[in-house]
Amino acid sequence: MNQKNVYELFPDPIFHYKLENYKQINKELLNYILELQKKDKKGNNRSNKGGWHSPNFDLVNPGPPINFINSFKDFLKHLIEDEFGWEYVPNKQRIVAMWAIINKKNSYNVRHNHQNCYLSSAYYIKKPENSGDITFHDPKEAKTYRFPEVEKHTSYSTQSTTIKPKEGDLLIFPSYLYHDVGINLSDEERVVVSFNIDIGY
Amino acid sequence: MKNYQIYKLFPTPVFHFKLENYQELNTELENYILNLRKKDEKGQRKSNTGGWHSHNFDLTNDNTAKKFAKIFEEFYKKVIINEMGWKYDSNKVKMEGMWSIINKKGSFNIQHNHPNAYLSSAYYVRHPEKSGSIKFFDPREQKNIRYPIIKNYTNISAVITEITPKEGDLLIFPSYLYHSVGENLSEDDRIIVSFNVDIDY
Repeated sequence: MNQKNVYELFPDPIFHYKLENYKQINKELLNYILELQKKDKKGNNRSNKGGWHSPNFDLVNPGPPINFINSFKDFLKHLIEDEFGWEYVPNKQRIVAMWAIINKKNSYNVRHNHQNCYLSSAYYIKKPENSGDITFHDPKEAKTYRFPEVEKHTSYSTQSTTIKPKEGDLLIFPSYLYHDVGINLSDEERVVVSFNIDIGY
Repeated sequence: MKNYQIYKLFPTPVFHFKLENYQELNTELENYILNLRKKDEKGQRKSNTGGWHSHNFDLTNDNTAKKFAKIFEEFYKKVIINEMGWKYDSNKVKMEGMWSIINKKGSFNIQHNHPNAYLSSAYYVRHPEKSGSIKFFDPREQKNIRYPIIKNYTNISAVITEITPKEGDLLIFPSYLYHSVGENLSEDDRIIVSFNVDIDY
């Protein structure tokens, strides 16, 4: 047989991390988010269709958002230094924005990416069954604009990948990566927190 | 720290095969190519800088060229069916052009890709040491135009991947993938055969 090797070049990485103390963190964050919603029922209009998109969290004063950040900051440092091989300079990697989205029944998020940052994230606070999963889309237009008829999807021909996270899961991915969230078909609310990380030197 | 998973989505594959009995095939190919050069010393100018680029082999009338094409067909057929999962209809899958490049000392190939095809290839007939490796370039502009300071390149942050093939090696890769060939720093000629595969429906 002819020897075969496949070099899998230039992948788009999704990091899937489970917070250790997620139950406590989720309780605190959920209260914080519901308080925000009381004060700003309209919220923002971004990728959310039908759902409520919060204003940005307070990342200056102590509170649930800062506790949440502290719970994954070692992981984030490891990811930047070891997985990406980027230079880690304390105070130069900044969480530039953090917000929540509550998708009630029939809400979803249209395809979007996150501009002017390097890494983005989705953290799951409430994730009932059938409440909508996240789908990532291949960023290579040259590949996805014109392609042969696909008979069987493989990791090379696929153009989108859906991930089904659970409560307490933290996904971190490159900000350029387009994604969307499926319709919430459950009767319960789906609550996520998102944030963007930028690095300046 | 390994309390997390990484999904490496949408990789760009480079398939690396080694041909059995390549020595015999390479002798035949080399004779064929040198004969073509005698009749067409000017060749044509494409990505080749300093090297000789043949015109396309005559895959309609020339039985020797057809025989070579047949040998490579087995490999791209495998890639199409098993790896890419594309529908394979032998009337629709066509080798669109097959040619050779001879890089003498000081020659190289500038960065290019192969339009109007799905798969492209390089097969190594003669590959002396230091005669020029092939470099593949990350197709994602949004990742490459702006990025943090890189301390260690990793599989995730890499922008270029260099492969140093040996004689008898066949590389098959998506045609949109930009690549270049380094300068031939040896005293001997580097000889390769390339081809494109297209599929219409």
